[in-house]
This record gives sequence, structure tokens and C-alpha cells, in this order.
Amino acid sequence: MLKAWIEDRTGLSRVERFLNAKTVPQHRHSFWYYTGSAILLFLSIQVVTGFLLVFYYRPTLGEANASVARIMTEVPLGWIIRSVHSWSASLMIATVFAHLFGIWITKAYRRPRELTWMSGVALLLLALGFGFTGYLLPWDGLSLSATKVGTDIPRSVPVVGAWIARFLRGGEDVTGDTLTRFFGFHVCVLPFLLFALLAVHVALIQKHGMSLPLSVERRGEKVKGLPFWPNFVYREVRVWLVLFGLLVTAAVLFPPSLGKVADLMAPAPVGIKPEWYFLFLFQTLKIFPSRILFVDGDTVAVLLILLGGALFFMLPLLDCSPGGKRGRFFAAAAWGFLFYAVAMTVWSLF
Amino acid sequence: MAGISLLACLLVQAALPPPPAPFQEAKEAPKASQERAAGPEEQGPPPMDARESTGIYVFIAWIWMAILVLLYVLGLKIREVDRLHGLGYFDGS
Repeated sequence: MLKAWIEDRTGLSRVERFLNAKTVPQHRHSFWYYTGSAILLFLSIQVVTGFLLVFYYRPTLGEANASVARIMTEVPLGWIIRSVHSWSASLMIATVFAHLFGIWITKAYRRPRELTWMSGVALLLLALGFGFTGYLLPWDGLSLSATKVGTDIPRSVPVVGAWIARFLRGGEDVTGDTLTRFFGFHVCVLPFLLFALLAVHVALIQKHGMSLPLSVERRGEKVKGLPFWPNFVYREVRVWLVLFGLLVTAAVLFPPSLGKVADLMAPAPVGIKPEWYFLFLFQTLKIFPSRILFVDGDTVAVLLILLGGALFFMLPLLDCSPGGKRGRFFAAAAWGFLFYAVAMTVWSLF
Repeated sequence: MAGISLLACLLVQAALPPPPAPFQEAKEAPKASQERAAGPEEQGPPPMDARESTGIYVFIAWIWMAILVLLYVLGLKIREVDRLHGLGYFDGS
């Protein structure tokens, strides 16, 4: 009776039929399929803990740091909510990197899934945007200095660089306006863009189905399909449980600290470092000399990074014959990029 | 008898750790208050006493116990639905 009432008004049986018909290919690279839902798990945790933090956080120059201190010391379970939010952000970005890397090496972006890849890269940029804007919100000395450095980088881009820096900062310098602006990006603009793009990304995945790795497809062997519901979902829940356990353990044992309130007139502290996921870019910028021939070294570095980002975004269009010689080059480039990112990150720590 | 009791008392007293001397407490107290006045460089979660920190480990152990039980139950469910899939139970749905 109730089911018929709901069915008349929503047509939910179509979703049920879709889930019953959906299958997931089973092969030796199947573990990469779990990274997508792991991202959604961490994103859900981010949303829930973010809502809880917003109840107490105050995005103003005078109150931001004190409100975070209050969350950590006075609000019941506030310190663990903040810690879970922080750790979940790191784990989400790590999983996004792993997800994209898995797609890259299995060539799952090949025709007709080019747009799925591009929307995924755009989602990575949004996730990094969340990390960058969220880093300033505690408003301590380290976050202020790191944001000053980070928002100064676009200045190196010719023509539009100064405008981008002013847009990000809400003025010439990092001030209380920057804090309020970053809070607005973090809780309003970026979530809106993220969920809109995520809807497109998931819709594209449902349209084209799960991709087979190129190596499996070329062998021409018959691949068994596992029903998405309930066989694959049960397996996913197992992965979620383990990830949730790791997240809670890390959050409880290693909660993030809070520095003294940021002083706009104070000199930058020694050893400013961004979050771990920006370290390889940070180190790349550091190794460039101040001048290369007649051009500013930072400008060359930023332009090269932007070029690398554009090539990464257009990877499916560049790798137009994934099984050929060019395809092998791009597969090697994936491992080369991983090695470079890890090496640069480790270097930046010393 | 009294001698034996006295000897036992002395032995017990020697075995027990000495009580903290009052002057040591008096020396440490101003140091702590000075730190509070200066303000810490970094602020973490509120300090926990032994009972609270033990509670943290009990909480983590409880979380992992619950996860292990759920993983076991899910393993049984997966075996069951895989068997049903092998029999073609989901093909008609």
C-alpha cells in the first residue's frame, strides 16, 4: 500500500530496476573501482562534520582563531569533530589522487569516457580548492603566511595574474576580508560547484558503465560481471568500514593543533609549508632560479605548472591510440609523474 | 613480636615509593602558572587525565571490535549473495 503510494508519486521502481541490472566487471584490476566510492564516503563525512563546525565557527578577523580554540577546548567532542574534518579532507584528496592514477594507468579514460575524465580532473581542482580555502580558516600564524605565499603565486601569471591575486585576497593583501571570502568559497561557492559537477560525473559513469582496463580488453577474454546490488555494494561497505576505522583512529590519536592568533604585521615564520598535497608544486616552484634568461623564474615555473595541468586535463584527447606506441608513452608518463610527485614531496620535507 | 612488627613496617615503607616532597610541589607550581601566563605557542585538544586518555584507547578498541564483527557478518552475506548469483537468482529480478 505505502510502496504503491510512493511508486505512484516518485517512480522509484525505475531506480530499483537500474540497480538490479547494473553489473561491475570482475578482473585483477577491480580494486580500483573501490576508490570512487571511498571518495564519496570521505565527502559525506566532510559535509556532516563541516555542518557541525559551522555552528560554532566565526569567520571574522577578531573571532576566527578564538572560535576554533573554543571548538577544541569547550564544545563537547569539538576537538574530535575538527580532527575528523581535517583528516577526512586529507584522505579524500589522497583517494582522489589514487582514483585518477588508477584511471590513468588502466586507460579507463579512453573513448567514450573523455568527459568523465575531464569532469574528474575538475573535481580534483575543486577538492584542492577546499583544502586551500580551509587551511586559512583557523587564522593562526602558519595559515596566514601559507595563504600569503599561495595567493601571491598567481601574480606570476602574465596579464591576468595580479587580478586573480586581488580576487582571491579581496584586496592587495591577506586581511580579514580574505578570511571571510575564503569562508564563503569554502562553505558556499565550492560545495555548489562540487555537487553540480559531481552529478554530471556520476551521470556520465552511469551512462557509459564501468570501464574495462585496456590490458583486459585487448586479451579479449570474457569478463564476468558482478551484480552491483547487493554483491558489489556489500564489498564496498567492507572497504568503507576499514577506511572509517582508520580515519577515526588517526583523528583521535593525532588531532591537528592550533597556533597563536595570526598577526597581520608579524614577519612570516620560518619553515612555512602548505598542506602535503601541495608540497610537490611548492618544491617545484622553489627549485626554479629567480631569473631564466630575461624572464622571471617564478613566471616560467607557474606557466609550466599550468601547462602540465592543461595536458593532464586533456589526457584522453592526447592519448588517442591507447594501445599503440603513444599509449605506452602515456602509461610510462603516469609512473614518471608519480615518482616526481613523491620525490618532490619528500625533498620539500628536508 | 613488637620487633617483628616494627621490622615489617620498615620493610614495607622501604618498598613503597617515597611520597613527593612538599618543596618540590612548591617549586613546580610557579613554573606552570608562568607558562599559562605566557600562553602556549600551539593549542591542542584539552589536556586529558589518565582516565580520559585510557577512555580514548578503549574507544578505539571498541570501534575496531565493532568493525571486525561487521566485517565478519558482511563476509557471510557476501558468500551468500555470491552463491545466489552463481545459481542465477538475481538474473530474473
